[in-house]
Amino acid sequence: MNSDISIVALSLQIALVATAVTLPLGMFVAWLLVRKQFRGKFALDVFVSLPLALPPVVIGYALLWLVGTNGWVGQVSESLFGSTLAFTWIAAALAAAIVSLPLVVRSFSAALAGVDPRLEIAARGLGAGPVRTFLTITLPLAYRGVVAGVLLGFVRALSEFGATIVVAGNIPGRTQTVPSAIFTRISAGDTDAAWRLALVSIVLGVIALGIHNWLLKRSSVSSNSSNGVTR
Amino acid sequence: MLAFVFVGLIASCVGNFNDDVPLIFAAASLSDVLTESAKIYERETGKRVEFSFGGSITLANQIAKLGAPADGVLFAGDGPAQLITEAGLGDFYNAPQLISTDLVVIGGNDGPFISSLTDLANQGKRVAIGDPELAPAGRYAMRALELAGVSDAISDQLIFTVDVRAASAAVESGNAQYGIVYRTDAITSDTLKIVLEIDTNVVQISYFATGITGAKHSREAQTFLNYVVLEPETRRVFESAGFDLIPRNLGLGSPSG
Repeated sequence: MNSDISIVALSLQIALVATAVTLPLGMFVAWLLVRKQFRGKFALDVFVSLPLALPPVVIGYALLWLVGTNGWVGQVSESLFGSTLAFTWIAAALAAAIVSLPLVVRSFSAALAGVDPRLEIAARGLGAGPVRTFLTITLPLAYRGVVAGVLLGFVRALSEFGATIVVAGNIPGRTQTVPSAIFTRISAGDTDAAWRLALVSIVLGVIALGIHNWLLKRSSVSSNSSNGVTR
Repeated sequence: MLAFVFVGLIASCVGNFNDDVPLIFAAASLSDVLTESAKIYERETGKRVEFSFGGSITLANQIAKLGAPADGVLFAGDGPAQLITEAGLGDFYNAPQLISTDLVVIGGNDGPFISSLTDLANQGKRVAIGDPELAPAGRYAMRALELAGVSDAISDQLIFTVDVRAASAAVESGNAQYGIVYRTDAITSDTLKIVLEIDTNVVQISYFATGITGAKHSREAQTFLNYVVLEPETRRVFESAGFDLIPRNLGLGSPSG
């Protein structure tokens, strides 16, 4: 029971760090994709979305070669910290960030696309810089979609298994997340313990998706009514 | 503010991923006995160890080819040990080769006994074994089937699992009718019984232990591995689980580390 709590805690820690990566990165990519025209936009879109189309083990394998003893990231971290990131919880967080990024970018893109660009143009015309415009006009208008995207990315990070077990292993107390603990328990025939963690996953998933859907419904209601006013 | 949170998290992880407790990668078949031994070790010496359990070949590859942060290993069979030796990461020659077990065929408690591996092949039922690519128990099982001359006949009935524990779990859950596992896996469950003993002259299994050369806690790991096989209380844990302990070299008090 006690180990259940520490497994859930480590999973939450990994998913939180993954979200801390995907929130700013996803926002920037979504902003580029929605508001900017540039060469390579199509390629960026495909590259960021790729984890949706790839088996997670492939992501894990690619990441392993990047952060492991043979990869350049691995060699840099080896010289800095004396060890590679492979088989650490940071590797698990990276894997979770990569697989959740496409969902986050998609949610953020939809949220940003729902903001009337004329409002941003007006703010710029009144003298606000691009960052101030984004923080005071775009973000407040898109915040429900953004929060929904963060939630979706967070639960995807919590559920990550395939890439995680390849790049971070399945070390109890160090890199064992809820899904990898469930896998171990199923393999070992420890069915009650496997069900306990499976139930935790289901409850967390239902709560997060419930809030996500509620936020999106609210945001579509409010954007419809504001459209009504402007018309 | 987000940047602060982020920097804080990164700072906390640097402290976190260089853990101060020796980490031992060990065969799945030893998970119960080693976990119990670690409790005894902590109670008696005040020192902790942590484990990563799995198929020995999977774990040996993680260490030898991918740089996984193990301080010590305890693997089934000489294949995984060889991977570590060839990578220059361990010296099994000076380490104890002390723990051994043998292979049995298991079935459900209410199922029939079988007379031979040929009989097993003729039954046409599903047989769970550890994946020979990942788990030494699976390699030994395949070797036993080959020596009995039934490896082709039985190939359609075999189910491969990630490690040997998963093979006995598959029989326990009824997803396979039989399994070829270590005797010690059969003993841990009361819903399983041994339906056939495989001759120890055919297949003999030993476990190999060593500290990992160059690892931060190599010496501590080796101290624990020696403690396990030399202390009467932990030896009893292994013996009551069905393992044979054969001290090969009693000069183990001072490992070459």
